[in-house]
Amino acid sequence: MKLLSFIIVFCIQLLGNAQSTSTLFTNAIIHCGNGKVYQNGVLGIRSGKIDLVADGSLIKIDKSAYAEIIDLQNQHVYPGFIAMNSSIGLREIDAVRATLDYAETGDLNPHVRAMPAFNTDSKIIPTVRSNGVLTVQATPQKGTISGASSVFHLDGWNWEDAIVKVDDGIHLHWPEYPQKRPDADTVKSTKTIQKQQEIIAFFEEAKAYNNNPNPTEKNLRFEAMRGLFNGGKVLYLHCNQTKDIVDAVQMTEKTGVQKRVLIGGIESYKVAGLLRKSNIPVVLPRIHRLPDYQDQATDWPFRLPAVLADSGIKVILSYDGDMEAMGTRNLGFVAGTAAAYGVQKEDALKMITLNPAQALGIDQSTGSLELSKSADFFVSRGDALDMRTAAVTSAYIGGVKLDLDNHQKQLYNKYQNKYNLK
Amino acid sequence: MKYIALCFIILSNLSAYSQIKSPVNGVPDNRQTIYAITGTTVHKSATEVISDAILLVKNGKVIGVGKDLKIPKDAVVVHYPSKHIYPAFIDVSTNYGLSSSKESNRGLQLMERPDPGAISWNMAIHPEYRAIDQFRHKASDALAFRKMGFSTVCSINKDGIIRGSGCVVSLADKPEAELILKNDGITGLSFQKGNSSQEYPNSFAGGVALLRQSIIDADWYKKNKSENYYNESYESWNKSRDLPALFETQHWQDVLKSIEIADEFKLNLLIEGNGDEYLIADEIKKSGAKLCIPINFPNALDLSDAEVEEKVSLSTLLHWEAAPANPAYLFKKGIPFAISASGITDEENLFTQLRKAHAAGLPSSEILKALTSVPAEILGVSNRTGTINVNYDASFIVCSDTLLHPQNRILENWANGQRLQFDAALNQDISGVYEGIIAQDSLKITIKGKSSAPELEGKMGDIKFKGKVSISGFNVQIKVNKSEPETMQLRGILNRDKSMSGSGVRENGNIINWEIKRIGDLPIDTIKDEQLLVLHADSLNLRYPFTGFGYNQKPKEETLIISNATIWTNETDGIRSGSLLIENGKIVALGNESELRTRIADPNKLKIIDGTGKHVTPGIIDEHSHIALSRGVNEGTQNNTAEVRMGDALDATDVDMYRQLSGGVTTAQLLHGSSNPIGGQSAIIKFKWGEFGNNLLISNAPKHIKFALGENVKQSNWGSQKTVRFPQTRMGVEQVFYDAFQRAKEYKTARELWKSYSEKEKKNKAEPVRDLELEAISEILDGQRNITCHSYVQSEINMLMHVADSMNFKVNTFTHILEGYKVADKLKAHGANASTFSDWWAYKWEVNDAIPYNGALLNKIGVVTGFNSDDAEMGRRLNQEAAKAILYGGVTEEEALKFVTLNPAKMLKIDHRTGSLKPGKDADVVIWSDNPLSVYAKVEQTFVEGKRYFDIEEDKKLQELNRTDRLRIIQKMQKEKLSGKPLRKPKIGNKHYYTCDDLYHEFETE
Repeated sequence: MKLLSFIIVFCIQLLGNAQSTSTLFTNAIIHCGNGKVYQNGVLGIRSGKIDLVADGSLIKIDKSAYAEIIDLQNQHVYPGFIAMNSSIGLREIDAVRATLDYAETGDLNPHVRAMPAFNTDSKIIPTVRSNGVLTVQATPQKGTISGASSVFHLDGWNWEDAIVKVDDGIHLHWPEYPQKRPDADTVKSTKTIQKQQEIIAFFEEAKAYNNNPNPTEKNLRFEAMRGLFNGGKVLYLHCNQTKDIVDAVQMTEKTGVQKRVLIGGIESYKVAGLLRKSNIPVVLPRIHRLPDYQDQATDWPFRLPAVLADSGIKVILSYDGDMEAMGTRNLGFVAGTAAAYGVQKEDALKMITLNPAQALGIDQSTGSLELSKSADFFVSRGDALDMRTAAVTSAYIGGVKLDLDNHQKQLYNKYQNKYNLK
Repeated sequence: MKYIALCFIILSNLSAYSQIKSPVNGVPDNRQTIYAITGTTVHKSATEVISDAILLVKNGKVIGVGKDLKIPKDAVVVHYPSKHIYPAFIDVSTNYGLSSSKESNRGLQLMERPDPGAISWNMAIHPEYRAIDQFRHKASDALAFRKMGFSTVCSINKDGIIRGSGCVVSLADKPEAELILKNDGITGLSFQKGNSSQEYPNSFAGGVALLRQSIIDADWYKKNKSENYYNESYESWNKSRDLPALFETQHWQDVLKSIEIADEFKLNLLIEGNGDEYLIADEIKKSGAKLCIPINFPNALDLSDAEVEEKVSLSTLLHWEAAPANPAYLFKKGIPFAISASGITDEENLFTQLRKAHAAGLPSSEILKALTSVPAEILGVSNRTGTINVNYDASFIVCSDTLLHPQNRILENWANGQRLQFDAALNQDISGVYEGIIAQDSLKITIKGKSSAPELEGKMGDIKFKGKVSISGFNVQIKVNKSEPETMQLRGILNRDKSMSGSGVRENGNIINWEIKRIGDLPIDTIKDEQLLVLHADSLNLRYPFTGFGYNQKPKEETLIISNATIWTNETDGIRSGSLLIENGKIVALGNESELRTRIADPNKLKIIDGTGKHVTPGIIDEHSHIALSRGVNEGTQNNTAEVRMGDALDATDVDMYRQLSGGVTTAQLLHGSSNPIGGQSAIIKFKWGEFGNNLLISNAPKHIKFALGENVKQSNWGSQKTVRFPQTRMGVEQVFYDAFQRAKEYKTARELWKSYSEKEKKNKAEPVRDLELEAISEILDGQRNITCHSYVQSEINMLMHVADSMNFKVNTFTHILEGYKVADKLKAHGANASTFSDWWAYKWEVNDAIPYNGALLNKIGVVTGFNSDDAEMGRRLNQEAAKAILYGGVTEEEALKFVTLNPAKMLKIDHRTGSLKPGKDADVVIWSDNPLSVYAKVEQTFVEGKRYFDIEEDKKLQELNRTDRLRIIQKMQKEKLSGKPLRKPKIGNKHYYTCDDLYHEFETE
C-alpha cells in the first residue's frame, strides 16, 4: 500500500502540478459508483483526492477554499470505469503477431507478469480513455495459469507511472469438461480430471514451498504463487460451465488461497448459492453476445447480470470477447444494457466501477466518488451508459486532467479541415 | 393358367443353353433344378395375395405361381406351411460392388487438377464414371443386403457433383455378367465435391454453381460439336442426361434446391431424401419428382447429463420425434416413394424402423410397394422384378410371418433363383412361453430378446431366475445367471415342435433332467411397446420453422393502427407524433387515429395498438450480413467466383433471423465473404421467420454482388500456406478486375452479336457458350447488378473507382470502407454509397486509420452512409450502432436512424419498398419501448410486410412452447432409454458464425 501511494504521488508530480491545486466542480449530476446519486452535486478535489462530494443544495460550501471552480452545467460525473480481464496495453493489432504480448508460451506460468509488457503508448489507450474507461486490469491469457495481471491507469509516461496495483492476481484457466462433443467425452473427461489433479498438486506444492521462508533452491513459479496464500494476490478462476465452476470453486477451497474471483461464469447463475457462500464475485464476459445455445431466450445474456445480482452475487461487467481491447471503449454501454434488462442504473454503474475495484483490492483508493479516494472520474454531457447521450468532455486521474485527444480525433480534425467542414 | 406355366417351363429349358459360359476347370456343374415351394402365402405384389400357393422356380426365373399348379416330377419340393413369400426388396441408392474412392489430399492449394485429360476441368465432375466398369460382386456385402431382404440394388458412385451412371444388379452369388439387370439405369448428382482434392468448389453455393455451369457446358457441347474438341465428360453426360438423376441431399433445403436445378435444366429428378421431407411435402408433390427416402430414423439421445440436456437443440429433438412419421406423412400427401436401407446394416434394425413407419400410419402394403414395385419402376426394371410373376426374376424372400409382424424373420432370400437360407431358418425363432419340469420341480420360462442372443426369465418351483439361451443347430444350452438361485448349466435338444429336453448338473454335482414344451407366444404388450411411443403422422404438429422459436402458425397480415406514438418517418415529416395505419402488408397512411379509421378497407379486421410513449420506426436494414446461410459463405478458391449465388445457400432455420427480428431488423443483404476480389452474388432477404427458400428473398430485388479488396483477398492473414492463389498484393488485385471486366466486355459483345444473327446465320455459327461468371459481371456493365465492395484503405478504394471509370461501370456501395473519410469527396463524385462500421478498428493492419467519425464525415460530405453489422450479434443492436453516429461526429438523431434504415435501403435499391414509413411502402415496422437510439430501448413488435414476426409477449409464449416440446420429447427419450433402446450421444454447441474473412466451410464441419 505504501508503494502504491508513493507511485500515485510520484505520478502526479510528473504529470502536472495538481498536488497543490484544489478544484470544486459544481452543478453536476454525480453518480458516485456506490449507488448514490447527487442530482445537484458538488465535487471537491484537493491534492488529487476527493475532499467533498455532496448534494450542493443541502450543504453550505466554502467556495473560497478551492483554487478553481468549474461549473459543470448539469453534466454527469462518474467514477472512471474499470475494465477487468483486459488485454489493453498488451495487444495492438489482432492480425499482426508482432504487436501481441498477451499470451506467453507454456502452461503453468504464474511467474509471467503483465506489468513489464504494458505499453502505455498503445494507440488504443487514448481511444478507450476518452470514453471514460480510466483503469484496466492488464491480463495475460492462454495456458492453464496464464500469469499475473496488474492494474493500470490509462495514463502515464510508462508502466511505472501508470501502475495502480502490481501483480494483483494470478489467472487460472480451469480445465473444461468436454461439452460440445460429449460423444468424445470419456477420454476427454479423464484428461480433464487429470489436469485438475495436476493443478491442485501444483497449488499444494506451491503452498508447501512457501511455508519455507528461505528455500535453498528458488522456484520462480512457486515464488510467484506466494501472494495467493497470504492474501496479497487474488486467484482469478476462469471458467464458464456449471460443472467446471463447481469443481474450480470446490477444489481451490482447500488450497489455502485467500481471495478468489470468478472470471467468465456464463452459467454461474446455476450455482449462485455456492458462489455466494464462498463470497466469490463474478466477472461476466461481454453481455453483448448471442445466447449461449440455440434455444436460450434471445435476451438471456442481457438479463444475466440482473439474474446474478438478484441471487446475491457481486457482478462485474467486462468487455471480454472478440476485439476486446479496442472495443473496451463500449464498456459503459454494456452496463447500460444491464440497466435496460433489470439492474437499477446506479447498480449497473457499480458493476463497472466499485465492484471491480473491490474485486481488484483497489477500492480503498478508487472505484467510487467518496471522500479521500483518488479523484479518478470523468464528466459526460449526458448519461454515459447510453450511446445516444454519452459524450465525455473531461476526465481526471488523481485529480489531473487528462488529454482526451487521440489518433482518431486527430484524423477527424485533419479531414474536417481538408473538406472545410469546420 | 397351367398351360401358360408349362410354356414357360419349356422356354426356360431352352434358355439354359443360350448363355455364354466361361471355360471351367474340370467338369461343369450345370443344374436345371426346378424348385417347387408349396404351402405358403405368396404376396405377388402389395395388392395380389395367393394363399396356400405353389411357386415354381427354374434357372433364376419364376416359372409358375398359383394355387393349383402341377408340380413337375423332377422338382425339389420345399413345403413351407404358414410361411409368407414376398418379392425381394430393391434398393435404389447403394454403392454395392464399387470400390470406395480414395482419400484426397486436402490442405494443398490445388488450383488445377493434377491429372488432366479429355475430361472436365473439375475433379468433382465425372459423368464418364460408369458403375458397370467398376462393378464386382462382393459376397460379404451382398450377404448383408440379402439378410435384410434385398436381392436387387442399384450401384452408383457416391462421390462428386456429377457422379456418373449406375447399374442395377442382382445380389446373387454368380458371375458378374449374369448379375446385371440394367446398365446405365440412373445417373448421380449432388452439391458436394466429395473426394476431389481440387480447391474449387469449397462451399455449398459453389457446388450449385459448378453443377449449373457444367450442365450448361455439356448442353452447349452437344449443340456445337466440333472436330477440334472432344470431351468425354460431356459426351457421357449427354448420353445419360435423360436418365433418372439420383440427387443426393443433406437437408430438406437441399431437396428444394435440387428441384429448382432439375426444373432449370429439365432433368429427370430422383430425389435422394434425408428423412425430413415432411417439411416440404407440398413442394415435392408439386415438382412431380421421383423420391427415395431413408428410414434410418435417428436414435433417441442419451441425455443422462443434465448439463447437456438443456443445450441440445430443440430442432434435433423435434426431428427425432417426427422422423418415423415422415413416410406416412408423405403417403398421406399422395407422394409415392421408394424406401432405401441407406444407413441400416441389419435385418432387425430395418424391420424395427419399418414397424415404426407403420405405427406412424404407413400401411403395410405401402411399405411393401416402397421396397419392391416402386424402386423397380424407378429403375426401369419393373418388367422383370419387384413383383412375383411368371418369367420374372425369381427374387423373393420367405418370411416366417407377415412382413411387419414383430416376430417375423426372413428365413430365405432368393436372388434371381439363387437360394440363401439364414440361420434363423435352421434354428427357428424360439421366443415364446414354455412350461415343463426340471428334476421334480415345475419349470416355467419365457424366452425373448434378439433371436441371435435370446434371453430367458423363469421360475423353477417358486424360485425366479434369469439366464441366457444359446442355440446351435438343434443343440440347446441354457445358462442360469450366477446365484439365481444357483449357477447351473443345462444342455439338451431342440425338437422340431420347439419342445426341448435334456439334462444338467447342479452345484452339488447331482445330474438332473429337464423338459419343456412351448405353450404360446410372448404376451403381445411386450412386443408392441416400442410402437406406442411413435408419433402418428396425423398428430404431427409442425412449427414454422420446425425449430426452437418456430411459430405454430405462420403469422398473418394484420390490419392495424398504431396510435399516438412517436413516429420516425424518415420522410419530410421527420419525427412526428401521430398514428400509423397498416393494411394488406402496406403502410396505408399516417395521421390521427380517427382520420385513419376512415381509410380502412376492412374495418372488421382492425386492431389498435396504443402507441402512447412508444416509438415507431421503419424496419432496420443490415447492408452486410452472413447469417441464414449454410455451408460456407466464401467460395474463395478462385479469385473470381461471380457465378456463385448466396441465394442457393439460404438457411431458413437459422434462429439468428428471429434474433435479428427481436432487434427490429427486417431486411438484410446476405453477402458472399471477402476472400477473393470478385465474390458471389448476394441474397436480399426479409426475415420472414417460418418461410423458406425463395419466399425469403425480396421478389424482383435488384441484383447485387460482393467484391473485396485488401488483406483478405491477398490472403495476408491466412498463414504461410496460402500463398499460391493470385493475387498476393494490391497490385495484383487491380489486375483481377481489369481482366474480369475486359473478358466480360468481350463476352457481352460476342453474345450480343450472336443474338443479332438471323436463324439461318445461327445455323452456321457456334453460339458463344453461356458463362455464369462473365454473365454476372456483364450485368454490372449493363447497370443490372450492383457491387458491394469490401474495402478498407483509401488507395484501394481509389483504385476500384478508377477501374470502374475506365471500364464504364459504377461501384454501388463500398462496405466496411473504414478509410472512406479520406476519399469522401471522390466517393461522392463517383456516386458510391458507404456502408461502414460504427467504431471497429485495430483488428488488422489495414484498419489502423479507421476512425469512428467516418460515418459522420461521409454523411456530411453527402455520401449515402450506413452502418452494417457483419456480425450476428451486433446485427440485432444496429439501432445502438446508429446512435454512435451521434456520439462520434454529432449526427442528428433523425439522420442517425437513417444510417440503418433508409440509407441501406437506398444502397440495396429497395428504398421504393422499404426504409421509411411512407404510404404505399411495405409495412416493415418496429415498435420500440423508448427512443430507438437509446441503449434502454427494447423492441416490442416487429412487422415484416404487415405480419408480426416478433412480439415481446409472443416471445414468452414461444419460450414456453419450447419448454413443453422439449419436456415431452425428453420424456419419450427417457422411456426409450429405460426400455434399452440404442441411444446416440448428443452434439451441442452453437452453429458456426460466419464473418467476411471466414474460410470455414462445409468440408471442415465436425
